[in-house]
This record gives sequence, C-alpha cells and structure tokens, in this order.
Amino acid sequence: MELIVLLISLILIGTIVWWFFGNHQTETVSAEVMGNIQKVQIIVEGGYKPETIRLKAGVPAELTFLRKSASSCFDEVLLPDFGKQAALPVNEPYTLIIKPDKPGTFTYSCGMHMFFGKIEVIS
Amino acid sequence: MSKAGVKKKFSLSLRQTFFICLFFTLPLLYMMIIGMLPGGDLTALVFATPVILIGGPRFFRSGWAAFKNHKANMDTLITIGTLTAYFYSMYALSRGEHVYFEIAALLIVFILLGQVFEELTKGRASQAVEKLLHLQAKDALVVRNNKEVRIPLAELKVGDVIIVKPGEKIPTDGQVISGESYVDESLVTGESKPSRKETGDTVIGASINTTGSFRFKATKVGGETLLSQIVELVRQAQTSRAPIQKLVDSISHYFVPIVLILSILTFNVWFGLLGASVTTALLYAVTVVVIACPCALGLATPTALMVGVGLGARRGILIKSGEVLEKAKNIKTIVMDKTGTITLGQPVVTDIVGERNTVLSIAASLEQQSEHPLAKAVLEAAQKIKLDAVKSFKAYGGQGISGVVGSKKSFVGTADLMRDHNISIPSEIEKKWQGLQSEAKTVVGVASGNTLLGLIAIQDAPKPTSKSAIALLSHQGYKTIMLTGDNKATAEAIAKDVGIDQVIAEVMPADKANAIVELQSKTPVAFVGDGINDAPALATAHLGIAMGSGTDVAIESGDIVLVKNDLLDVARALKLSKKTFGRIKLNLFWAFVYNLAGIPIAAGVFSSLGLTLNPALAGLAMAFSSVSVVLSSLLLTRTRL
Repeated sequence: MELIVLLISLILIGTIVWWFFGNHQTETVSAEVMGNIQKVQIIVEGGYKPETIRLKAGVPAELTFLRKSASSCFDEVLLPDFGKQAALPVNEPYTLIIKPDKPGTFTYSCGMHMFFGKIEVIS
Repeated sequence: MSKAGVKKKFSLSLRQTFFICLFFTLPLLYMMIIGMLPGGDLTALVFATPVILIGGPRFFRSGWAAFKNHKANMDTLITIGTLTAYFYSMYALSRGEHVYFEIAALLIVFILLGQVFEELTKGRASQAVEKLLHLQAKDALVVRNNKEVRIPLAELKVGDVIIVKPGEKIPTDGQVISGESYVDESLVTGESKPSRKETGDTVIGASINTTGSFRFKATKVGGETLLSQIVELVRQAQTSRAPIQKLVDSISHYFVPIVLILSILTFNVWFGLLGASVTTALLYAVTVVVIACPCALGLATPTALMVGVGLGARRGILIKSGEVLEKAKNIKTIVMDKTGTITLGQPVVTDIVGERNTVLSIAASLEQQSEHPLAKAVLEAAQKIKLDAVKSFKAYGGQGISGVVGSKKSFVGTADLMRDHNISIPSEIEKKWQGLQSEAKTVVGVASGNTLLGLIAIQDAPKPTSKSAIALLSHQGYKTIMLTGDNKATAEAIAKDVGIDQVIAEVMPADKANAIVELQSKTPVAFVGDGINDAPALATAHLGIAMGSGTDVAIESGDIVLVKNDLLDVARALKLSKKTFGRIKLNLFWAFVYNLAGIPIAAGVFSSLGLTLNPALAGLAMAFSSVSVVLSSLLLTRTRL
C-alpha cells in the first residue's frame, strides 16, 4: 500500500513540475492599429490572456482589460513601466491608455505580484 | 436592461458572500467547540455544502483558470485544501468514519474574512491620492464681461481673473493682480505657516485663503496645475517597482507548486514512514497547503510603497519611485547648492550700524533711483520708513551713488567713494566695516554732507531653517558639502554660519555635474538644488533632491521633489525614504518567516512537542498574514517626520 502511495506521489510531483515549470507555449497577440491608436483586449482569468501583447512603439495603446474572475488576486493591475495602476471591475471592460515610447519587453502584474503579463514594444 | 445590454451575471459581493457563509458555518462551529447537533455528521454535511457552493466558486474558478494557464496562486491552494477536506469527509461519512466538514467550511469563511479585512485596509493604504484630489475647489468666481460669475472649475481658462474671498479655496494656480491676504498652503506644500500674498506673488490652486481678499490671474488650469502634477507624480510613484520586488517576483513563480510538492511529501512521510493513518496524514498535508501564503510576500512591497509615498505627498515631499527608496538608503554625502537652497536666494539687509531709521531713510531715498541689485534689499528693509525726494542723482560705477536728500548732498557707497569725497571714516566704524566684510557681507557707507552716518551690510542670508537642517543632517551621520559658483570667501562665511562640513566654491554651473561625479567616486551622493540651473547635477547625482517651490523644472529633474523651499525637508525626505524601505524589508522578513515557520508546523514537524495546527486555524493564519502585512504598512503613517 505504502509503495503504491509513494509511486502515485512521485507521478504527481513529476506532473506538477512539468505542468508549472515546463516549457509551454504562450499566446502572443499584436495590437490592432487604427489610425493614431492601437487597441488590444486582455482577458483576466487565471492570468492575463493573451499572456504577451505586442505593441508598436510611439503609438498610444488602448488596453482593454476584461476581468472575468472575481478572485481578489485580480482586483488590481499594475503597469509600473508605464506609471499606471487600475482597480479592475468584474465582468466589465476597463480601458487603460498607455504610451509605449521605448521598444523593449515590459512586464505587468496583478496587485499581489502573483500573475504576470508581458508587453512587447517593437519599433 | 436595454436590448443591446450585456446580460449581467448575478453575483454576490465579497461581504455578502462572507456573511452568508458565516451564517451556515456557525452551527458547524458549535459542533466543533460545544457538541453534536441532532443529525450528527449528516447535519454537518447539510451546513457545509452551501458554504462550499456559495463561498467556494470564487476560489475554485480562479484556481482552475490559473491551472489551465500553467499558473498557480493562492486560490489553487485554497481549492485543493477545501475540496480535499470536503470530499474526504463525504468518503468518511459513507464509511462511518470521522468527518471534517467544518474544516472545509471554516477554511472558506476565514479566508473570506481575511479578504474583507484586506479590502478595508488596502482601501486606506491607497487613500492618499484621493485625498489630494479632494482638496480642489469645485468652482471659481471669475470676472467675465465685467461681471462676476461663478463657473465650474472645468470651464476655467488661462488668463481668467479670479476673485478670492476670505475663507475660500483658491481654484487654480496664478499670479495676484490686486489685493492682499495670507494664504494657507499647508495642504499642498506642507508649509504650516500661512504665507503673505500681494500683487505679483504666485498662488497655488487648492490652498486656502485666510482673512483678506484678492484677485489673481490664472496661469495654469486643469492638468497643468501644481496639484494635478503632484497627484500624477504620486500615482506613478505608487505603481512604480522597487528593485527588491524582483526577488519576490521570482520566488512567487515557484512558491505554490513547491508548496504542493511539500504537501505530497508530508503525506508520504506521515503515512509511509511514520505509519500514521490516512486521515492523519491527509490532515497534515491539507494544513501545509492552506497555511502557505504567497500573498503576504506579494503585498509586502507595494503596500508599504503606497503608504510611504502617500505620507510624503501630504507633507510636500514627493518621492518619484520605489527605486528612489533604495538609492536613498545608501547616501553618505549630501551636496547642496548655495543660492536659493541654503540661502534665501535674494540679498537682504542683515546689519545696520548707526541710527537705524536715519541711515535707512537716506540710503533708501537714494536707492529709489538705482537699479543696482542691492538697492532692492535696502528698499525692502526701509518699507515702513518715509522716503524723501532726491535731486541731482548720480551713480559712480562700481562705487556707489549720490544725490541731494533734503538740503544735503548724501552718499551711499564704498569706502573709496567716501574717501574721494573727503568723508572721514572713524577708526571704530572702520573696524566694524572690516568685520562685516569678513563675514562675506557687502558693506556700504551712508553719509550726509561730510559726515558718515553709518553702515548697511547686505547678504544673501541663509534661510531661517538652514542651520538646524544641516545640524540635523550631520546628526543623522551625513557629510555636508556646499557646491557653489560664488567666491570662496562668501561661500566659506555662509558655510561656517550654517555648519557645513566642506565647501567647493567657484564652480561654474556647467561644471557642477563633474564635481558630483568626482565626489561620487568616493561615496554615494545626494545633490540638493533648486532645479533651475542645477538640472545636470540633479540628474548626475545618485539621488537628486529638487527644491523649487513646485516649479516644473524641479518636478522633472529630481528623484525626490520638495514642494516647500525648506532644507529641513531634505532630512525629512531621507528619513521617510529610509523608514519606508525599512518597512518593506520588515514586511518581507515577516512574510518569509511566517511561511518558513508556518509550513514545518503545519507539516507536523513539531508534533512531538505538542505543536500542531488544525487546518481551519492554518487557514485563519494564512488569511491574516496578508492582513498583518497591510496593517504593518499602514503603521508607517505614524512615522514622525
């Protein structure tokens, strides 16, 4: 019995390591440029989807966050590189406008720094 | 609901969910502490199920959504903890064994309670910015087409003439064009004493007029005003990232999966190695899952930053980012600009030798005609003295002036000017003359006819608080250096007066940055300047502290901006930075210690000493570890600056 439990445990541990630390593909979406503005929607549920958004440098970007999760983890979104912070309402879109001036990769996170999203700014 | 409207899901607020769950949990609590209710374990199932169904989904959904994204968070831990306790109890019920429904329900109630508290305290932590915005006036009384009309703030334009009555809030930034009053600027600048305003003076929006009445012309409106700029700056600072956060971010990525692995290991050690029952091993494993609190780690930095930056903003100390806090803690040397930073920036009469009113009256009467910078200081000192008309005014370049005041030819000027006009200087006065000059003051003689009436000494005097501020900085262990373009004698006299350790004089404005680079090769340096001609030095120094009565340049060029023009705020700003950074470290320390100590206790490592934890209590500890971090950050507001 103990041996079976140990075996199951080892399989579980292996699965945890693979599932959480393995190299899984993440989604990247480029913002849609409409004249002088670029727009992209981010779904907030168990993380930020798409996990990476690609923006064009120099064009103001409208990021619309749609928070579907009531978990307090997602109460806030912090974009320190762009000096923005917002309290996200549940099931209502919330739009933030940022100015991606410099090319580079920037991270943003939830208020508790548990979930992260990426913003790739390309020239 | 409109036809086009999106169908909204019915959802309970956090507090509603908490109270409903609490209602169903009370009987379970009764069973846990006092005794069985009729129906026994089945009653426990009946009361626990609504808690799982009503309070659980917010955690289950989030945990599952995160899991699908290959992520894990606090909700993952709560989901695994509660569902394990609940389903194991169902299994146990079917086999007539001991059930743990109360643990599943209590866990959810305790965590909801923690979140309610967190919501309350976090709200308080982020109030500083909102408070600043509430300072604004709602409307303004303006003159339009020669009529006085009250208009909303949004309609205000640059150039509008605004009337401010006693006790009213000043609606926007501008310049006084008529009238006078004392204005309380403490809400914006932190300056406690009301400052006098008369024609030509600038006023700051959101400050409060006291008893007088005046008119001013709006120079800035809307987002351009000082208050708006401060609010924007504080918002950005509060969202900024402190470098220490990077460490925490990398830990939180591994945290939850590692806790899950530890929980599996705990089960195996108890069940496989120590021969405990499945129930006991499972309880330890569940306790490990629910005690771990990644949130406390995540909240440690941002909440302290938010409170510290907000506290500074209310005192006119604007810390521009979290990074500044880490820079400030390393500073050993404080380099200060002289003019306008240590000194008032404008010459004033410091000493008068001879009969005060006579000396000032003659000097000021003559200086009325002069355009020399020192004339302003003399006229300022003679404000309450009646001045005479001057005939035959004459200026002697670099030496002084003369003219007929009353019936006698009078002079104001250097010793040479006096000698050239056969005015003798008694040896006693000559001594005083030299004495004042050695204090780096500009001294002029005042004569009427052939008689020297007295002397006037003029100096760009130190601000009233400079001496105590430098003493405070020295006491705090900083080395103080004055960096100035002025000549050595003047600079050293001022330095001696205020107690500065070292003087670097005769440095051209463009070379100030180079001087900073050289000093920085030895120790970390903070530079304090007024932001107007010091921008390069402010940017070069490890830490730039801009003082500038809220000028745009100062706001842009400093790491820390002091709204008030007071050197004491340098000491306060450094203290606040250190305290805030210290609080971040303390928060992180406790969050780490909590997890490092809590997990082994939960796993039953100390059970031989009788130290074990019930999973529900572990959940309570977990929920309140986040609350305690937020409360610890809030304690920063009690810092005395």
